[in-house]
This record gives sequence, structure tokens and C-alpha cells, in this order.
Amino acid sequence: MSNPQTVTATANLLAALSLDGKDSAGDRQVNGSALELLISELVNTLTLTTQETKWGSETAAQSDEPKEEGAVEARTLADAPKRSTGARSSPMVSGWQEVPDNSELMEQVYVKLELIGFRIGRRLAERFAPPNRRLTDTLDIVKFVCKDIWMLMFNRQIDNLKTNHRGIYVLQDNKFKWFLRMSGNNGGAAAARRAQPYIWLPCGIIRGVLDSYGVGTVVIAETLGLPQCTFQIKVVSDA
Amino acid sequence: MSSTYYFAIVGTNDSPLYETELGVQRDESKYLNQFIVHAALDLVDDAQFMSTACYLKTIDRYNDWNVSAYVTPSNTRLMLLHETKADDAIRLFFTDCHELYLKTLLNPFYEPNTPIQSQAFDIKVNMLAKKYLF
Repeated sequence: MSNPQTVTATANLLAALSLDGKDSAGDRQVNGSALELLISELVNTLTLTTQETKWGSETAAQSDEPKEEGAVEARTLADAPKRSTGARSSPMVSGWQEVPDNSELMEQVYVKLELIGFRIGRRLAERFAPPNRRLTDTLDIVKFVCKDIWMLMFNRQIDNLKTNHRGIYVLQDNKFKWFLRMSGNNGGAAAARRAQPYIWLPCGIIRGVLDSYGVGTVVIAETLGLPQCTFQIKVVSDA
Repeated sequence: MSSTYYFAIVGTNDSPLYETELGVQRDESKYLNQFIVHAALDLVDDAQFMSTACYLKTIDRYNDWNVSAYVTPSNTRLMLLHETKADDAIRLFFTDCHELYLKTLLNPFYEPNTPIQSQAFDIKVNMLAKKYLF
């Protein structure tokens, strides 16, 4: 079972090591694709474990039989009205073919992913802040996100940054790296919807970076066509 | 030469995350050190907005003691109480302590803004102090 700390540890490690030349910890390097693989597994595993802990624990209390049989049976009986058809079989079997439409489940996954991203973001901000220079202006911090953090994680910069100078920033990435290898059967809107969980982590990372500079924000991400995604940052605090 | 130093790492909510006394200590100054550093925090806030550098040199003086400060990007303050003036050595000490702090942060089991209780951290800080301050 993955727990947020183990996951954060691995993600931290990959983020910190998978760049060249900036590593003061002995120049060990990790193949950058490892981060992409981790992320795709991360979303899937979190969904499955959330499903298991939320619905597995409710049903495990009800029966004394061996867990697998009891769990599956009790699940279909007790939880059929609550769950969509996609989540009927045991987690080991379903894989990622059926996207759980259960919005409650996805909301929990969202909270977890965003929190993991938040923790990573705080550490990234401190670790990779420009040396001997502190950023004071919120716009500077957002630019730091667009250039440095994006360069670290995806090896490219944000394509477009818009702001209304009153606390709203829109970051647009036209070839989001993690989307480049994704394709849906019918393309278009369905694929974009299924790709949603994968941008929750970067949302959290952006929020973590800004929070470490003392700027409280709400970050929302949306994607309209697959390799493109947009992050909207709303500054909440009065700084 | 009895040079004594008091080093503290102060978090964003003004509570100390780590404190240590380096060198030979005089008895009466133990509690005083904390008071001096705490009082100097206001001055750190003022000086912070004057410059964008991380190392703010000596920001305060109290009797014989000088207070030097170093502010990290996430507003964690490293404070050093010292009697002698040694700007360069102190800057190097602060930079290395900052790197140690970063390594602590990278530990996913460490929650930022909580006291640092690692013994390894303690030993390394003492080693750095021996290297730069004595």
C-alpha cells in the first residue's frame, strides 16, 4: 500500500536527482522518464488504494469470511447502489479500463494528490530557490514557477503567462509533458476528462511553491485538448 | 580565547526549530540568549525588506553580543549570537547550515516548521561551527 510519505519520498528523490549539474549530493542521476512512469502509476495506485480503504474497510467489518470473498460479495450487495459499474470487481482485476465515475472517490484522490504535490512544492521551492537572492514580488514568484520549476520538472518553460495584476495568473502549457504520451480512443473531450487526475499533482506543486513564499493561493487546472493544459492561480491572502 | 556562540533556527511562526550553544558558555547567559534572539526577530523583519540578499549581516547589538541573521527563501531565519566580528566566516557558516537545513527538509518524514530533533543534524552543525567559527 502506498502511503503519502513513501510516495513523496520517491517523488522528492526523483525531482531532486533527475536534473543535471545542480546536484550537490554527489552527482547521482536518475533517468528523467522514471518521473513520468512514477506519476502515471501514482494516480492509478492512489485511486485503487483509496477505493480499497474506503470501501474495503466498510465491508471487512461486516463479515468473518476470508477477506477476498467476503469483501467482494459484501461489496456488491451493500455498495452496488453507491458505486458505478466500473468498480464492481476487485481492484486487482479492474486495472484502469473502467474509469470510476464515482465523484466521491475522485474527490478523495484529488485531495491526496494535491496534498502530495503541496508537500513536494514546498520542498522544491526551498531547494531550488535562486541562490542568495530572495523573491519578494508575487509576480516574480509566479515567473519563478513558470521558468525554473517547470524547467526542473518538464525540461521546458510555460508557454504563456497572463495576469490581471490583481491576483489572478493564468499559466498555459501547450505541450504538457505528461500528456504527450497519452491518447484516448476517441480523443477530444473524453480523453481530456480522463487526463484530469494527472494535472492535480502539478496544481499542488504550484500551490506548495507559492505557499513557501507566504502567498496563499488556490490553483485550478483544466485541459481542453490533450497536450495542452491551463493552470489558474488565484491569490487568496491579502499579501 | 573563549569565544562563545549561540545559534538558533527560527521558523515562520517565530518558534525555534533548533538551538545550540557552541564554545565555552558562561552560566548567566543561557536564558538571555533566547531573549536576545527573540527581540532581534523584529529587526530581521525590517532588514529583510531592505535587501534581497539572504545574508543580512549584523542586525542588532546587545551589550557585548552581536546578532547576525540569514533568511532563507521560505522565511526561515538562521540567527547567530556572537561576540567577535567575522562577517565572511559567519556567512560561510550560514550557507552551510542552510544546506543542512535543506537536506532536513528533503526528508519526507520531517514536517516543515517543527523542531529538528535529528542527532546527525546536531553533530554536523557542531562540525561546521568548529570549521568556520573557531
